[in-house]
Amino acid sequence: MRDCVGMKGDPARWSDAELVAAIAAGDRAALRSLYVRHQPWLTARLRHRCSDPDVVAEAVQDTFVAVWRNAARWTEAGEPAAWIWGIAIRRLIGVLRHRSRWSPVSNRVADGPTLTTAEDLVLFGVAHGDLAGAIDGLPVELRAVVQATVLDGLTTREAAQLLGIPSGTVKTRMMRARIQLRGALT
Amino acid sequence: MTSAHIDEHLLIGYCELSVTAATAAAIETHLMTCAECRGDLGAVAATAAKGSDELEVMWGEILQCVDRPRLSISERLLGAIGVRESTARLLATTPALRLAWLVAVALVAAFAVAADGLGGDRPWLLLVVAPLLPLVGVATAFGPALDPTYEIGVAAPLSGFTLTLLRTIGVLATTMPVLIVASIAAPGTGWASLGWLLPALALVSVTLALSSWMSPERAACAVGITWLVALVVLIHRNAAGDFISTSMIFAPSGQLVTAVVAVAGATVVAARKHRFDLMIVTGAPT
Repeated sequence: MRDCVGMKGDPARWSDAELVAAIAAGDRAALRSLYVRHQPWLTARLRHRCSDPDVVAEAVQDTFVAVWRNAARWTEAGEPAAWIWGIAIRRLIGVLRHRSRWSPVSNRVADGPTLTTAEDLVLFGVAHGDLAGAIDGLPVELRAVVQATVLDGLTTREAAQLLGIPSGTVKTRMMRARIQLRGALT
Repeated sequence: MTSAHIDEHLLIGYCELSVTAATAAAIETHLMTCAECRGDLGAVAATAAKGSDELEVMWGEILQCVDRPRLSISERLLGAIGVRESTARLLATTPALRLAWLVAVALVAAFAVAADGLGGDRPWLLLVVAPLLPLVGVATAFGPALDPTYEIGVAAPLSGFTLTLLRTIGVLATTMPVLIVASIAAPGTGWASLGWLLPALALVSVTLALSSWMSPERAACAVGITWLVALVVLIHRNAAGDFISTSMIFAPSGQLVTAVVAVAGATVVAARKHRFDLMIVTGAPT
């Protein structure tokens, strides 16, 4: 690996933000460091959304190519990890749509992760409390919707594409999930 | 879990998709804010994938994408309408698909229309010039003189006939719409201003046919000059009226003849298609 623009030292020690800035300037060593740092968790997290390892691998690969091309657009407004995840989940949708073959959210969807907005924070306090139980108690299809819209931050339309269901269904399922969670928590 | 870090066995469970939904959600939320745990997960994943070089294979593929030149706009447009990438590249390198060429065609057409508007009540300059533009486009679309991919074409296992047809279609698909718009914008006589359409096809078709004997540039010159001469010669000298309305080419019978010429040219091209392979190799069929 070569040419580390401006900054001194080993890119492996730079912060994510510094790496993205260097990538924007065309530094491949920085892209390599970012890749090594983020590829594993991105892959693991996407596998919770899609059961097909090939699709996940393609999405992760596309993600880093997109990071390389769009690094200049990163605004330093937030955590690069969140920015990269936003790209990754949308690339996953893109790959699924491109293959026009739907492999359901996950063959492990019953164990797939879920969360709802305000509960994000609460969950840390009550990892084994009522909320966790309530979420685990949601029917699979409701949980998938909560996961896509709340945890992954997708729009209704994107969630619909990821799950292979109409937008209207996403909305009604989200509503039913809210009602069930509320019922379970009160 | 906020202040502490994630247990290794939880990370392993997460990677193996064996944790409950709520736990996975908690892990993911923590991962987004904790670089250290992301690193731990990387270590866990590396242990799990022991012996597999997936990480390096993917990195190689990313590098390939990064190194690859980005597709030009015309190639992306062609890709969007379902043209294969290799075909799109062939088309996009046609000189007549360059923006400069299209602008030139539009300018020539605009000047012709403007001149017609100034000159009289019937457009004739456009009718004379319009068939020549696709002709020039086709003449420069292949062959050693102007094709930037000519050298590559020589070395590629590619049928010269396919290349010729592709490029010709490319030229017609881009040049004709510009001219048709110009004709519609032209002052005067409705459908009569599209009288150049069949002659244009005939000229292109005959040029292609002649290209199986000589270089495309030479063929185009010969055909272009023939066109201009024919326009002048085929005037009813005794009839009243302006230049165009008295030229037989734009009368129904003349249009029919040009259509027949177009078909005849296409037939010759089809019959001599093997000659185009020779042209790709030698620069001119012998």
